[in-house]
Amino acid sequence: MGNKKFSIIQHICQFSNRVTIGALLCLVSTGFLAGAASADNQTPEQAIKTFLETVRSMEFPASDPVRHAELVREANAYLDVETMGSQALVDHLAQISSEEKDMFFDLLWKLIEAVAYPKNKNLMNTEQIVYGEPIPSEGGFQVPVSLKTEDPEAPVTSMSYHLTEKEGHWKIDDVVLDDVSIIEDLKYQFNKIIAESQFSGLLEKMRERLAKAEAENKNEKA
Amino acid sequence: MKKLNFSVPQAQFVYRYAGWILAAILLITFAALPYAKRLKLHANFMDLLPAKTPSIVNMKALNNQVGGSSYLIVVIESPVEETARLAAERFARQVQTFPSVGSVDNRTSFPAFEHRKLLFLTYESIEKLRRNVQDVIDYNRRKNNPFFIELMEEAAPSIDIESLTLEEKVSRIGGFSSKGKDSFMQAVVIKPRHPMSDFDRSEVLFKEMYDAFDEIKKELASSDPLIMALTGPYKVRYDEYKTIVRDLRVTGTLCIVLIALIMIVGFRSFRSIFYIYVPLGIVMFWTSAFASIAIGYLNLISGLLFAILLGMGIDYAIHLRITLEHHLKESGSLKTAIEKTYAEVGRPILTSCLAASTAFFSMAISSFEGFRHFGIIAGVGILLSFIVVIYGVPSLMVVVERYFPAKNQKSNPGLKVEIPRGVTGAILSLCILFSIYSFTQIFRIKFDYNFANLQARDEGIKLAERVYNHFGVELTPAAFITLNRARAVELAEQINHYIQTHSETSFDFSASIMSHVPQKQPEKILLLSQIDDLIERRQALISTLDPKMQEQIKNLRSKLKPKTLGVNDLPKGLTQQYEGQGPDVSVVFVFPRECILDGQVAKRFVTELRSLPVARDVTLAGEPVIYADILMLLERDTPRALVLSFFMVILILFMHFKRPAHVFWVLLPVVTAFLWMIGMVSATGFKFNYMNMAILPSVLGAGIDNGIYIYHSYKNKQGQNIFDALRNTGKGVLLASLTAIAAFTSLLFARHAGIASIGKLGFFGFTSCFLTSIIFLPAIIQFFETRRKPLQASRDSLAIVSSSKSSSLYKT
Repeated sequence: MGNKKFSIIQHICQFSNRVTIGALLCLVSTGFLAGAASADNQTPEQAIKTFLETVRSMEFPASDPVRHAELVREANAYLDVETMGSQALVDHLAQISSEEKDMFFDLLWKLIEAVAYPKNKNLMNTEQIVYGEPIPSEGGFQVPVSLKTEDPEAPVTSMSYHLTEKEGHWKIDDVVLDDVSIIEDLKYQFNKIIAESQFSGLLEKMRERLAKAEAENKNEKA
Repeated sequence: MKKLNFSVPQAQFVYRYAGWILAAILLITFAALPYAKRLKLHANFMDLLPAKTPSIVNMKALNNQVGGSSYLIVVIESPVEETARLAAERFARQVQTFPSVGSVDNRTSFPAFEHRKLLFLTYESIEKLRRNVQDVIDYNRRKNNPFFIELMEEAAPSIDIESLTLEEKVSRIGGFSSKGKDSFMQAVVIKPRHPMSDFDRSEVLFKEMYDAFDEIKKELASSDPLIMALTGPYKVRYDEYKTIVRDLRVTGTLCIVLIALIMIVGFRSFRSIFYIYVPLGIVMFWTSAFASIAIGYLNLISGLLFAILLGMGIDYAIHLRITLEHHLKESGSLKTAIEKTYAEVGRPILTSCLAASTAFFSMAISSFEGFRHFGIIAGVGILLSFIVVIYGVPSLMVVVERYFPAKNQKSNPGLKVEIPRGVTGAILSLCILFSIYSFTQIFRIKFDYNFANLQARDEGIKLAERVYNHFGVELTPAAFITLNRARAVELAEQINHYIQTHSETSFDFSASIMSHVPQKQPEKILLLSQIDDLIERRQALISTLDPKMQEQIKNLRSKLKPKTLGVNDLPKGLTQQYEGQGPDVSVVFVFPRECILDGQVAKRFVTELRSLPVARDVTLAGEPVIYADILMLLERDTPRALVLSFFMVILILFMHFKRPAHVFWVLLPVVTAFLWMIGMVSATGFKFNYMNMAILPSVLGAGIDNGIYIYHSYKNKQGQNIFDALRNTGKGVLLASLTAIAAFTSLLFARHAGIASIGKLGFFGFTSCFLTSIIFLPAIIQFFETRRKPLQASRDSLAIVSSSKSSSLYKT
């Protein structure tokens, strides 16, 4: 008898467990999707689209500096350069001073504005952009993006943007091309320069590159 | 020795039977003509060694079994790649059918090699290739990522298969294709069956190849320019031989012209040139006939014979003609002139002839066929020169003067030169000073062992360098002939291990047939398939690369799926290079680290090969072995032959002059001349080499000739001083020396640096002989003569009287 009672209780427990797990799963997924749309009421896909459209609207060099600064600020709002840079510099962060760190991020932001934005714009000016479905990944989402030309024979460039929510905004913290993260590529480069000429050498190279990019952007107008 | 008398009876005989003597000479000449015509030049190094020499026997065995050991490279060029490729393919197929071609390697169109090319790389190189491909992908990915910020000036990586290391160096040798600035080059590597030094067969093969190429050009009917060029050791050596032959022809003509000019100036009559050249021409025919009957052919050394004979024979003819002319003008009677001439120069010419022929016969002791044949033929040639000149020149004069008597037979009163007192001492002092300087230079003599420095740098050599740079291998290997493949593999491994453990070795690498079968094939195939996967996965990225890189990767992909290559997959032509037609032979080739044209390298290479502990049934063969044997024999026998010649000459001189003091005076100019020659050589930075050493016996002969004529004349003119004696022989010595100097000067115009160096050394040698005979010897004799027997007080100056107005030593 005691066994029968135990068996009923066991069944009840099993049923209640299943319900609980089901309920929990529903809650999590609903929460996640709700969360995906929660930042600025945008989905990750929309965030990427807005970012890329903003970059596409930029002019290099800017004919209207006020408008250009506005666009840059808008685009910057979608980037998490601190995360990107910190991860790329992970092997050296402990050894550098806070001033150096500030200098590094300042230069990195400026380089993104002077080098990465023109490159992104050039890339998109000739391509048709197809956005894929966001895939949950590492606390955020991966948004696949394909860049196609009108020529069906021409190769398709496929990239994947990783976004995480930060302070109520979707921010791009990684760009993956051919299965390799931009963080890995930047890390390879930073490590190589630091090994050759210390952290100060890296800052020097960044300054040189910035000066060169600014000169190039000016020349483009000429 | 019974004293030979050339005077009255001989002269009467010649005068009386001149016509008959000429008829006999002509008859013998006509009889000799067919034999002389049959004489061929064997321009083959193998003919310089006795046929039973092990290196020759082994070389013949190697040729019979697997063909020659070196290579002929055919380069086909066109601005259009396809045209060059098609022509090379057809050419390779056609040449394969030639009986004189052992094997043809045009591996660029041979799938067994082309698709398995990467298997011949080391495993480490394939790993490097994988990293290379990865680098290209990474670099371009970074560039394509719009967020990447290039901070470094990173050079674009490339995929360079050619720079990777081959597992076996022997794999470098083979047909290849290469893109030049304006044209596409396709190289086909050919192994002829005959030895490289058999230039006659090479010449036939080259002609067949050019004919075949012309046919292919017609078949292709392409409007694109298409050219073919030959190179490689077979062609370079052949070209060198042809350059030498051409140089000898050109310089020979120049030499004849120069000598004729000297004689026109010296004799002031064409008649004299006729009297001298006709007998010399006859001597050439007689000697050629003798060489044809006794030896059958001329080799590369005895080929120089005619220059020597011309040089020596002309000396006899000049001395005879001058003396005849002098006495004819003096007496007005040819009969008397012949008598006096025979009495005056008959014996010196005979002694000179005996000395020279003995010197040449001494060379016959050498086991080096080059010297032996040369010694025998030249020795007989000199004796024949004596006979033809001593009987032919007066007979010719008798006959010609009988029908076409020369005008103006009056004797020339001669020229008198006053030399101030003290000049003899000054001359002697200068001579002694230069002799002391020359003596100090004996141990500073430089010897250039490198034959490469003697070659003419023509287009063939430059093309060869381009091709050799591609291979990075010296293409003149030696070969070990073993009895089977297993033994060959074992020996090749043993030698390669020896190379690894001996850093100073002269060997580069060794190869057996199995060296052409790659090692670790399964591992390599796996690694290559990984590269293929990598490329496959990154197709999207690769399609964004520049077309050149895409083409490179496409070409690479075509080689990334090789099948295992077994020994049975190797082309027949390649297998035949190692194993011929049968299973009872398998050859191991050992390649030298440096060019064996450097004699020192060749000797070290072969000595080291012979020191290897190989089994008794393994034989060593190849061109380097023969080449080194020749050099070793040359080095061994040249001093021996020179010393023996010298002693034989001394013996002859003793027989002639009887007294040691006289022999000393005859030898003094030649010994001093050798010393001065060394002084001149050292002062000008000149280097001896294997080629110019061959003229040293001629310098010895010429120096002794001068000494004999001058001293004989001085000895026979009792009561006269040496300068008076020179009055009779000076012109002869002067003309004979000038003709020899002119002959060697003409060689300075040769394109071949070796021939030109012979000219330079000859110039130094004969000038030294001339100066020591005409200046030093008289000066030193005069010096002792004055001390021994004071001359009359009235003799304040020395007088030199010469019948020649042309000599620069004499002034009117």
